[in-house]
Order: sequence, then C-alpha cells, then structure tokens
Amino acid sequence: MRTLPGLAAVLTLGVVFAAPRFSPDQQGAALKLGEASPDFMLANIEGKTVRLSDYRGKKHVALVFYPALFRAGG
Amino acid sequence: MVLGISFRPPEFNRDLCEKESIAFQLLSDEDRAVIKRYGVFNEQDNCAQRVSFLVDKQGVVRAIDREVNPTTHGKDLVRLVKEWLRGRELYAGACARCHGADGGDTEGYPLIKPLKGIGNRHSESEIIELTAATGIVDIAAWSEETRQALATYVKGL
Repeated sequence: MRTLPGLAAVLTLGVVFAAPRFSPDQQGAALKLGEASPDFMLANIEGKTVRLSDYRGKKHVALVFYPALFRAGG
Repeated sequence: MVLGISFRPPEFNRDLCEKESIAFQLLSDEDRAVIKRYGVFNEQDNCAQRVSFLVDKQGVVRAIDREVNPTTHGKDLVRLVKEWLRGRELYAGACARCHGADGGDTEGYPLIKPLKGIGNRHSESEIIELTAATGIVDIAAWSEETRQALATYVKGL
C-alpha cells in the first residue's frame, strides 16, 4: 500500500495539469453562513441528475460531504 | 432531505447503498467541482472533507458542521435540524419584531445593529453572551437547550 500515496500524487498532479478549469478561485472562497448555497447538478445512484434547486421552496436540505476513502479511520 | 456527496461514481454508491442499506441519496461529484465550490476539498487525499451544511428552503446556508463525528453523524444531524427549527420559533417570538425576520431589517429601530452575518463574526457562546448582555431578553432564565437552539439559529442569519 506504500505505492498508493505516490500513485495518488501522480494522478492528482495529472489532473491539475490536464484540467486547467480547476482554477484557484473555484476552490471555494469559503462558503459562509447566511450566504446562498451554490446550485449544482450531480448524478444519484441511478444516474439521474439531482439539482439542489429541486428542493427550493420544498424542503430543507442537509448536504453531507464525506471523503469516501473507506480506510481505517476514514 | 439528506444528500450525501463524494467523488465516488454512481456504480460505487449503488453498491454501497445495497450493502449498507442507506436511506438517503448519494450523489457523485466525480470531478470534485462541487466539493471545491463548497470549499471542502481535501487536496492531500483528493477527496471531500467531512463537512455538513444545513440549507434552508430558500437555499440559504444556515448551519455548517466542520467537526463531524462519523459514528454519531446521523443522530447529530437530526439534533442540529431540530435545534435550528426550535431556534427559528424562538427567534420569531422573541427577536424578529425588532431585528427583522432574517436579521436584516431594523427599520424603525435605528439603535439596533443588523444580525445578518453575525455567525461569521461570533461563536454560539459569544452570541449567547451578547444577547444576555443587552438585557432585552432574559435568556439567563431559559434552559441550556433553549439558549443553544436560539444561538444555532442566530448563527445562521
């Protein structure tokens, strides 16, 4: 498993150089309390697109971001 | 509504849902764009940090939990939502008349500072202290839980 961090580093570098759309200011000027939440479109497990704005006016939403690395302690 | 977000693709999440019988939606942010937009990117591991946001029906961020404990996460989330809703009731009854429904409108009360954004300047305990110091609302007489509920709500204004 020692090669994994190395591999991840290479992949990360590859993504950074190959995908210039990840510009520094897209890296979240930290979102603050009382601010509008950015809308998004992401696929659920069935591949269907879910938008945060789907719930506007209908439900409060808890957005739970998690690492999903599933290693010990993660 | 609970939406779990990670970089894992739908197939991985489908597998996880089946194995762990997960009741809420799992969404795939494979290019990490949303993770980054929300400011929760863990560069070192190329994944999301463990952070939860409570977003109200108008799409406004009302609570942020950056110290999520994975083992008690479900219960903590339920408690946070209940606290926030209770705080909203308390605020409507004790504070909205002068501070405005969302803490922004103090027209007619020139001496009152808007509460909007207060959560980005003060912690919940500071908010409680500040409120008690004004002497307007006798929150010292409230229970710990009730005070905490109001602070949770006010922090999100």
